Amino acid sequence: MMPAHKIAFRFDGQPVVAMEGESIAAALLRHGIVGFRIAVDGESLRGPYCGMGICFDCRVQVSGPNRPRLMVRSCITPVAEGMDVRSVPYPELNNV
Amino acid sequence: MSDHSYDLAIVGAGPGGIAAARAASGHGLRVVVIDDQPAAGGQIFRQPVRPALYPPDRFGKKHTAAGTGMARVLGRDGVSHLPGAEVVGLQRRNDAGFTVLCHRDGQIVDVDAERVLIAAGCHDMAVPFEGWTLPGVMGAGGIQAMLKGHGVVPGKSVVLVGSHPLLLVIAAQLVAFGTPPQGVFFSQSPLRAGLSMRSPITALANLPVFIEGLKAYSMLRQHGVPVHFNRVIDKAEGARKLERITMRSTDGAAPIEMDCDVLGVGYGFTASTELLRQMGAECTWSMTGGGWIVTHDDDMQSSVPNLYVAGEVAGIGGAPTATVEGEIAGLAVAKAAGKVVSSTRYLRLAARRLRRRNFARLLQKLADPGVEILRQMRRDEAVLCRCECVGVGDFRKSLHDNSHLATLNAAKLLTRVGMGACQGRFCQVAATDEIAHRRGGMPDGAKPFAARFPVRPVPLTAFRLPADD
Repeated sequence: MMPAHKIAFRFDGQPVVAMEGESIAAALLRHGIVGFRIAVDGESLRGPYCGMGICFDCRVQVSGPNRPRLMVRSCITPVAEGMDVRSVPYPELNNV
Repeated sequence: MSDHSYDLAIVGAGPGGIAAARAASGHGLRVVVIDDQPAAGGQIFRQPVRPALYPPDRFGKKHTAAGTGMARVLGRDGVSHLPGAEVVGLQRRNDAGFTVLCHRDGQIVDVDAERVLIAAGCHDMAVPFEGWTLPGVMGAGGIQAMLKGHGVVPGKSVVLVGSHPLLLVIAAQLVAFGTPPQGVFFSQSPLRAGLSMRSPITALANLPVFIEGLKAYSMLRQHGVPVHFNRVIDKAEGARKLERITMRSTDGAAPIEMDCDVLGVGYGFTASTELLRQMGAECTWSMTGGGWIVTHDDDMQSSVPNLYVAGEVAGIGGAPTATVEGEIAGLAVAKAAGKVVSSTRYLRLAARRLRRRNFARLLQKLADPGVEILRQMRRDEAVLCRCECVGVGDFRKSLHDNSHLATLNAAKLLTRVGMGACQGRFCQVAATDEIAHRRGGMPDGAKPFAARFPVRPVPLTAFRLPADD
């Protein structure tokens, strides 16, 4: 099999190694991270459900490199070298 | 402001959209295929994000061949492919045709087309039960998307529950990826599944599908993966993620508790008809056929002139149905655009379409959990609207306290159900059934959530106008 190019990004400050081309969600799930954000009730954790961009439960905040902070669906957004990915706590979201 | 102009804009690069592109471009039409995924294939033929991510033909020769075939169609002269573009609305143009509004790379892109075909497919039907919002609980199709696209099994210990025969196929795929599931639990009894097959001729004519199912079943037996019937998911539990599930039986057996970190849920599918509803296309309700699905004529044209449908948006039917309907729609559009289309080919396709729809209906019956089972799963403790965290119990109380509440839109205003980021895609089926059941009416009476532009959330920055406007 062709060796995959590895890239590094951060999730809530922690370094995560991903394979080029894969989605943020796939990279996190590969590392056993399943809770991506806190729901609007302020307490319950959520992760990917539909895996195809419909349910929005896997959404995270992404910034850099060369892109402003944006909320994306991690299941349909490819990782990029140096990306800063953050879970989306609801109170913080209100301050964006 | 328009960036492009086409004879036909196709929304969705799955089997239906690609078949339409092939047929229409074959008659000299300028076609654009718009798709929200980075690569063509739809869900059924989702290709790996990198070549050689897993052994070739892992998902069968048909899957690999479909990838090559689709690439060939999209590479044709006269066919443009717009991947990674989410269609967020349709607009009628003053002269003729439509403007298709796409969200791509943080911008709104306009695509003008004389005619539009919606082949947007479907997603896992959301089925609320206690604990279904825990990380680790996923749609069965979501697990498959991770497998096909990334070769990633989203956990270590997987259980599959539901009523759809596709669960057998997914279980076999998990075996191939080295993570045999702990078990597959169907809500139906084998007897009921058998009784739904009251059309032996239709069943026999589609023998290969059953053989595929039997192959998956025997592979599971070989690897010691148990397949059970009469078992219904009761609740999922865990501190910060899924740790344990409880299933109850419908045949008097004791409840089962199991430890697991992934639960795949597959009770059926919901069609993605929001763009058609946004344009006011006539819909009909079918719980087993995909929720609100679009009615159409023999040319696959919806009640909105020049707006066509193929595949799941016309009722859940799978890839074979989508393919033939896509081809019919592509030919119909060519004919409407003044091209000469072979009437023999047309008639042959119409006959094939009927056969495939007959089989699709049979599969729908086979896969139907029955509305009572879903209602029993939907206890007060369950979350109904994942986005806005509205509980089933709260929703029922609102219905009880407000006797005038009879439509989804009214319920949305009062309870916030359907007001979140998924725009009601995940609570619509359950909320519709709640209203119909409590009010004693038909689900049609509850009407769908109003679908408005943009039909998917778009960052406000995407709407900034260029400086020279």
